[in-house]
Amino acid sequence: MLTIDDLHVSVAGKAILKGLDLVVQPGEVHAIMGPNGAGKSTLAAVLAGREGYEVTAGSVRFHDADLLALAPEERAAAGVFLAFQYPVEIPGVNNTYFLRAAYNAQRKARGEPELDSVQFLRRVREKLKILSLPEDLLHRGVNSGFSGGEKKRNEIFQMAVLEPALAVLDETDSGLDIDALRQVAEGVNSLRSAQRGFVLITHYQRLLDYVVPDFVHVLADGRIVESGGPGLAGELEAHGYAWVADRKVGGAA
Amino acid sequence: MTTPLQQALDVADLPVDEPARRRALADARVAPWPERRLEAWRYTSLHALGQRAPRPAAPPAAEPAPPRSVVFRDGHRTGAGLDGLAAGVRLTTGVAAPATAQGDVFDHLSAAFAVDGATLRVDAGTDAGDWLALLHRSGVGADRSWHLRHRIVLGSGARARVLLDCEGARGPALATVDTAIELAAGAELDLACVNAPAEALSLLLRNRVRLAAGARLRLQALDGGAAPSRHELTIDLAGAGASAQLGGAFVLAGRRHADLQLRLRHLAPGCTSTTAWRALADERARAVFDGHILVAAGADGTDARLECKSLLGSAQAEVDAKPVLEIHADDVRCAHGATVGQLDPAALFYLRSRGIPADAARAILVRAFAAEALAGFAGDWPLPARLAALAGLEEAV
Repeated sequence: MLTIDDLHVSVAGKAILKGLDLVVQPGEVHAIMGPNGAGKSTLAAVLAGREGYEVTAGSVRFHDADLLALAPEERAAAGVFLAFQYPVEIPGVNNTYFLRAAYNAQRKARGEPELDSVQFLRRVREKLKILSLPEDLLHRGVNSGFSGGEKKRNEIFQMAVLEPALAVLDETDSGLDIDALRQVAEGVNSLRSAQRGFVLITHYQRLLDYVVPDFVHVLADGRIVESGGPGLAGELEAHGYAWVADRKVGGAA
Repeated sequence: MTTPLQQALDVADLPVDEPARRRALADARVAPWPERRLEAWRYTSLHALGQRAPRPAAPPAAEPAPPRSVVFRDGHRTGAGLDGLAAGVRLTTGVAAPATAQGDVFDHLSAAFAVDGATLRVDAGTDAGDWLALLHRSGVGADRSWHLRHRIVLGSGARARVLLDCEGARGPALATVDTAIELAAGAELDLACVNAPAEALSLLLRNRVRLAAGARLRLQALDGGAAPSRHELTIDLAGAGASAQLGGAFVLAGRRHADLQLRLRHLAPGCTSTTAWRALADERARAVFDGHILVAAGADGTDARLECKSLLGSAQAEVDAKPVLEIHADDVRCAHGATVGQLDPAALFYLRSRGIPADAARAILVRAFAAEALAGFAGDWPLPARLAALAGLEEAV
């Protein structure tokens, strides 16, 4: 469903991604790990369409579309969801209102009928139950005054309501205590399906103890330098990212 | 210098040929036209208006009015739905020319030409109940002028809620709506003012409020701008312990212009006032917030807060915010502030990344920003729902 081919991206003239390749099929969970500064969050931002990222070469195809040619809202309507590393606080915008506006805008863009507020509330309550989230989340401003853990859980909640085809989670595990991490992981696991792909971007292995990926990739200096099964995450945890860099240097020699 | 508008004034157009109106007309002809070199008019030009020659419109036909409302069209009462008002509540219409016309050119024009207006009297201790609406409408067509003078008088401990609604006023026209408000001791007035965007209308809203001891004014104002829409709000906290809570928002686009001139005077001890305004100017729109609070000598124990926050939506939009505190008493707590910024691009991207198109995302953020000024008011107010429409949202939630 997602095919990234030789992607080069610069930020403010500085090359960050330098030839990244990745293919995600429906039903697959791909973990992307890597040291700070490797380009992990740049990848997430480019997939969601954030401004300020210049694609200098390569392509990203999502289903049959050129993803990079679409506006952020068009990507969302096509089924791409980004769980933000730093969810934005928007005081004065009610969480339920926001989600319904988003949900209905996506449906409208796809030519599907919109849900009225009663239908939508029923759907939202179901999702809250599945994720064991408190109902007061619905009545608050978007991320406004939320703790770090609440913000991340709100991202997962949004993902559950919007049911994207491809979910990109940008360090959703960072800054979470073990209970919040487990809740986030349960949320992700409950949404795994044969139709849905995931890209989990993470710095640490611990999220992958709870969400077992199908593939693990190591991103270093703008490229994927190593790919493997779930066992690769454990090796990274044991040896550190330097181990991958050393192996690459050794392999090239 | 007088303007073509003044030179075109004609005795034959007076609604009633009587000495007081003739005098007022003569005064209007020679009164100085507001120029931008005057501080109070520095950011609002009436040059274009002065080149026009609006004429008084003929009385329009009667029309149905919603319950608890009076409809004025082109300055004439055309309908009223006043059945079932509580005892002690009287809402009458009609206005006579004042014996002497004081003030500026617009006061003279009003004295000469105004034939109508509402007078609401609420007896001491009486609660007038749910919102009473004064609906101002005007049609399209030839350039016209209309003037209304309202009066609201609340007895001791009386309560009323009044909506001054100019949403149905469209251009091209020169319109003045003057409202004199007297609140006796302990009286409470909720006043909501709405002006929806009207590109060709020149609207001057003059609200003058005097509060006796312990009286309370709550006022919300929503302005979509016009050519221009100017709100002159004069409030005298004249009795000890009187209070005013004011919140308003400008939501402006196109070339529309809105101007608030607040003159709030703390004249007695122990009075409180809070003023919160939000200005959003997009495209080539212009917002003016001139907020002046005077704390007179002897007004000890004053608590006055004044704030205006603005968002600029384009490089051509302009906001002029001038909060001023003038303090002549010692024991006071006063604060004022003004900020100007832009819509948060991170918030905009966040909304778009969830599938909300850019225009709708902007409208959501605009509404949230403006709504801050209308928050914290007791009771149900009609303006938050109006704000959603003005911000461009299809529905309010």
